[in-house]
Amino acid sequence: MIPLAESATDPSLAHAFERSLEGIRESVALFLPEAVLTGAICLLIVLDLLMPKRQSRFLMFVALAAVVGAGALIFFMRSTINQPLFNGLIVIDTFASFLHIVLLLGAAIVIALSYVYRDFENRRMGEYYAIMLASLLGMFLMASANDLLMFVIGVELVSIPSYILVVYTKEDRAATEAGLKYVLYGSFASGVMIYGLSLLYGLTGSTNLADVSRFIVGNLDSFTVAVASLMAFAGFAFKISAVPFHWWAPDVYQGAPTPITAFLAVASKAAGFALLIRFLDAAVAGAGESAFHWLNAIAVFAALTMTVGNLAALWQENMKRLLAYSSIAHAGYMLMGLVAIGSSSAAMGGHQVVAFYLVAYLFMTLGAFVCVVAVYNLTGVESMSGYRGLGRRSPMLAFSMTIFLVSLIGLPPTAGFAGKFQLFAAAINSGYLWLAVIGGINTAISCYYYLRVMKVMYLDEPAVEPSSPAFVLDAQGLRWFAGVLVAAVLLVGIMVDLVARVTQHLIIVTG
Amino acid sequence: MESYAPLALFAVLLIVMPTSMIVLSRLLGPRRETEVKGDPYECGVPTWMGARNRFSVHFYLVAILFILFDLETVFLIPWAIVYKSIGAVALVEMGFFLAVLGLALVYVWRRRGLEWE
Amino acid sequence: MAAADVIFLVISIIAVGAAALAVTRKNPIYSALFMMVTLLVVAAVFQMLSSPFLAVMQVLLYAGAIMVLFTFVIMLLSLRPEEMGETAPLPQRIFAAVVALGVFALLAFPAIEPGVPAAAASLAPPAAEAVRFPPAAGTGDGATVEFGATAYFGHTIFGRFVLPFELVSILVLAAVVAVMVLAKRDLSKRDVADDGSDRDPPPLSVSAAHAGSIASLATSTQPTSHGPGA
Repeated sequence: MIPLAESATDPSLAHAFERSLEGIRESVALFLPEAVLTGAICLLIVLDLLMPKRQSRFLMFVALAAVVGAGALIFFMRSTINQPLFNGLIVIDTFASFLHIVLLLGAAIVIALSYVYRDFENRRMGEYYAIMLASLLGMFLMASANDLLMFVIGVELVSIPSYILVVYTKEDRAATEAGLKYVLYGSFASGVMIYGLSLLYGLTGSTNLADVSRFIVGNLDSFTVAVASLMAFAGFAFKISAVPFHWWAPDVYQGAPTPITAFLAVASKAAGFALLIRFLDAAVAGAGESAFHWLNAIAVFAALTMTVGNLAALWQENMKRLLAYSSIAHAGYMLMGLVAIGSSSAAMGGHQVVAFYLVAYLFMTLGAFVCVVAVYNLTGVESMSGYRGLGRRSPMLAFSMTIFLVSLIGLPPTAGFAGKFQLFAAAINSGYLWLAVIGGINTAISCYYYLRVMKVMYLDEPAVEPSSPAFVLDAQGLRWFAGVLVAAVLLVGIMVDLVARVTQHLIIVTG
Repeated sequence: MESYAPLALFAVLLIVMPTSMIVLSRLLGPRRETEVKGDPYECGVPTWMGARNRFSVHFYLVAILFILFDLETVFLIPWAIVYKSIGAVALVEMGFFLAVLGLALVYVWRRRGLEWE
Repeated sequence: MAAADVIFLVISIIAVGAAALAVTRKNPIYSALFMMVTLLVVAAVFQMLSSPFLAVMQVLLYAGAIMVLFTFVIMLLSLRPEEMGETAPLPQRIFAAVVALGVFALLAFPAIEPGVPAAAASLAPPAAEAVRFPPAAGTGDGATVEFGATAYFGHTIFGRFVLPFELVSILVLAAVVAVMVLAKRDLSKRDVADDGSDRDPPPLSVSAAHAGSIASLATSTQPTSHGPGA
């Protein structure tokens, strides 16, 4: 009954098809890093089937090797090129390559952190690393997406694996609850986003970002375009946990296994920002001054996000929850930098300052989570009471944590200071002085809860005894781990010029 | 639009036939209610428990796996139609897709997801 | 009014009516059935938009497979009438209706905003050409590849959009692994029970425990403290 059309023999059709195949053939070679990740996902699943449970944790080295391999390939093959791949579905530009390296760095640290995390003992880990790499692959696509279809595929490929990672310790009630909340909020957010994107497709008749950009720039005052973009923004904002799409973050961050919390806080957020930047760049950058109300909207979101995050963090007693609100606040700071995305007056554009800040944020946030894992492995506690007297029990850990907290506040000579300085400068140069003032007030507020952690560590009496001697050895390793990240935070802070010069070369190519 | 005429005819038949069967049997058939007739039918065996039980979560696993592999078909149909005009490339494209899904199937099988107990 | 308009009018009334009924039914099975009606009718809309492939997929996947999944969930929980909970209080329902109407207004506006469709038509030619693949609704050698036909989908998926197609396989692989990771708790529990005494499968134990944990999750007042405004 259904008329299935016969296979086409139309010559012009065949020609067009040949052309698109040609484009694909050329692209495959440059797609090697993603191919390495894909191969590693399949290999991990096969190996996990073959290995006994006890040995499956050593599959960490396979995952790590894949991440390092992909990083090397990106560095040697793609670090200077700017060209669209797969007929413009994705684009490999310096911005994408930079984000890819940042994502790989974050993933490598999280993979290593998972290896020592206490709750992952006696668990099948091959699947875990496979799912994590699948999520990483999705983030890669988000960072280089140049087509609305790739937006959707990327976001789903990130989201579905992360839902599972959150409930990986599924006997834990808090993890199950977190997973349920994450799935419900997440699928709703991506549903809204897809609706917005499909409206844009309906308006332009194209999913290509360059076409969409041309349409949006020509119709900046259209209410329909505003509605569609706002709906798309809801999806991005969910990923970066910007107010008012942040409700999931505290519960999920608290309930998830700590390495996964770190993964969501750093990698997922970086990918979300990459996507948001690509979208905003397409919509606003070409429009110049006429896009001011879009920038005003971003500024309002930024102000709300940092204020809500910082105020809510004041009350927190659980370290992971505190860091969750802190990460919401940092999303606000980064949104503040994005108001410079269309501005030509700033020395560095919005996407460059945000990319710079993502590096600083990566090291300091992952560092803080390494300390959380170390304390948890030693004491089994994630609340503030586990940190009492840490300065005496484990001076190096407490010192590392202090450096990370100082960096999170944004004090010199740390990476956090360098990054924040540029965000503020970008906002002021783009004429958003009021936003910078709000950012300053927020930084002052944030001092309270970061400093409180330091007070607990150095001034309070120890309350919790080490509960699991079996993990003391791992904690020894974690101390060095934290030490390396401290060095990274300080290095980025001191060598500001170098990192800034690298980020200045980040170019966004659309189309 | 003419090509859908058989479909429309089919739809009409589909509605008319069962409706007429039900209506006719109600009008013409004798109705003698007994207690046995009111029982749920269980292959002639006397009923021994309520109908509203909770089902095992195993059913759900089967259902989800069914949907995931059902997705394959969706892509296989257009593939089969254009295969001839595309040629060997189509084989490579679908080969990769099926290899990954085959791996998924092997995984489910080795993890005993297909066994009931 | 043309015949197509009449058909569309009937179809849309059924779709909207069934959707409204699906939301307002208290018994979840009725909701599921009405939702199935909506999904089937949407398949008819796809057919009217000359996309038979999408129409068939809508029936196979949504009205078929996905709805089976929904029904499974309802059967797994198998709530008795007294477990279905109270109807929401009137103020809450009014609020929900207002929100729904607001969202509807927001989404309906694009259909009537003047000027925008015209702008879409004036899209620069090179971009428009890149969009349409195959280049035109081609008629050659008697074969037709029209927009929406199955062959059109084939050429699009296996030509221009082959990358997302392959990525979908990775997505499905991840989803399969995810399903197994989630369901394994119950399977391993069964392993433990196997060497134990009770051989016959207890009709309620596993699923009831599962359903119970879900239900308690949904209703428990969480100890996790929210920030201000929670």
